[in-house]
Amino acid sequence: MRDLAAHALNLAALRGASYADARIVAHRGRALTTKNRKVGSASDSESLGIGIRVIVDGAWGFAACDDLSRASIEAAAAHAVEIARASARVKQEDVRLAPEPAVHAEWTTPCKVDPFSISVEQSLDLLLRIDSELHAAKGVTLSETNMNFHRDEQWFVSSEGADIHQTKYVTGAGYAAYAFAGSEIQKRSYPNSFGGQWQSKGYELIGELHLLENARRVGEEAVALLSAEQCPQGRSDLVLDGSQLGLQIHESVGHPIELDRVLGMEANFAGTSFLTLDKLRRLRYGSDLVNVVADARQEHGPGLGTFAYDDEGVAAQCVPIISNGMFTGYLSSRETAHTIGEHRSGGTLRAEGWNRLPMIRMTNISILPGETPLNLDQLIASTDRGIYMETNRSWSIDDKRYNFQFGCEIGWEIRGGKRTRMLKNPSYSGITTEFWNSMDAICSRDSWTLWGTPNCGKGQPQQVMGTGHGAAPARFRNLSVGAAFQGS
Amino acid sequence: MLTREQAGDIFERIRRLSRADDVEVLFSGTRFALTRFANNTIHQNVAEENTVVSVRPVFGGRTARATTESHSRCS
Repeated sequence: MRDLAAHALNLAALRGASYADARIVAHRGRALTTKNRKVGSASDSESLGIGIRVIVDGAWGFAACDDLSRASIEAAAAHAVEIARASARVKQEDVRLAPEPAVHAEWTTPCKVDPFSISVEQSLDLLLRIDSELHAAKGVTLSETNMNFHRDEQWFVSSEGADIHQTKYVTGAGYAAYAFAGSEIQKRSYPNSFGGQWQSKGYELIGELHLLENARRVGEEAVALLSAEQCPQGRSDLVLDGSQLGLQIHESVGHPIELDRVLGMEANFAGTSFLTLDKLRRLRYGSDLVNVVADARQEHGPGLGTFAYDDEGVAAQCVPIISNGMFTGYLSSRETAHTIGEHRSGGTLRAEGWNRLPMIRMTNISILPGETPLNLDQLIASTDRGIYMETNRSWSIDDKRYNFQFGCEIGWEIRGGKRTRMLKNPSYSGITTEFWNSMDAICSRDSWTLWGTPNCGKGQPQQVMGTGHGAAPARFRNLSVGAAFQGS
Repeated sequence: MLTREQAGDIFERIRRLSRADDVEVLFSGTRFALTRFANNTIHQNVAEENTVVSVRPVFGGRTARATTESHSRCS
């Protein structure tokens, strides 16, 4: 594979490229689902191809093909050069790449059990047992389970001498129970909604999630929600579970710090950012307790944004994004680093596959846990009046990532430091900086989980990527709650 | 890109190898190009060629699907 990729670089150089890189990616995927105690779908997929990125006359060109014959690779390289030359005719200025050492490296996701070594039957058997357990709760109308595995092996070479071979594994699983009553539908998911929990791990994640053990409770909660009280509308203190806080980080920190959005290069899907360049190191993003990092390093954990090198050969890094509440960093690439005065890329350029141009993507955008020992029960015990909300149900945020509204699956009223009555259709809304400035407590490391968001869409054509978000339960003061479902 | 005859040959091979009651094969070929402008310049200018073969066998009314975008496996 290396020789084929190097062949593409040679041809691009011969045709006038001042820079070229090539990525060969071999992807394998498996997706299994059940629905109402029957197998819903079972599919395997594989993909192999090469993407060639070049700079000619100071402009980018990119071409990709699935045929790895030398003739086809030569044609793709020539096509990439031709495209770059055309782009250069209307350039405003030359592309400037921040310097990066060219490394030779091998890396593989730490993986105890190759998920593809587990039979489809074994995985489906577990899903079917979970599905039956969900129906053990009388009143569950619909049940859905899923299990997903990815393996991506990539060879990256560049005209600067980089030669990087990485193999990444991803495992994900989850389920949901629905209870219908007339026109009302209530839903509970585990371990998270929209596909469950995903991490860069092997099949060992499935055992760690305790899926079967939680199924009956999840089904019972879905049914109980039908007769729960409606979440009140007004102002309230709010405690969020870690998974919901993870999505809050994704939408109101992760997307607005993408430097291509800030610079107006990537507005189509979906929008730009309120974080204009003048705000760097000047904006108070949140309270002193808010510390957010973009950390792709293996030591941060098995997130969907964990790797050794990004898709332009930049080593994984930890970039401080919010430091004691102050806005301190963007997600950058080799091309965009100079716009914020940096001499090196933050290492965030990633592509969905061989046939897509890499773009700035979230790595693991995580809020750091509190330093004082604190778990969820203690956090609730220290809250006199408020609402605890768990598991995302809907999200909405404007195209500058400033005004937002989230719905959760379930809530509980907090009175006198105790979790009391269950609340249905809980929701909250706010303005990004006001929200993060209202955070006055966050649980400590023992309550911190690195959540996976497998469905982040960006770009045109759309690229769906996985991102990681470490979070712990946290408390926010005096928020607007309950508006989303009033009057229904 | 696969021709109609190549696709037909692949289907025949799959049908001979398959022990399924029925088998469905989807072939798709893509030749794609996109140019995006922002800030009065081209910030993305890309092209792609791809072939996808997706096989769905049926055993006693149950189905599964396997999809490949690997050119060598497609042909």
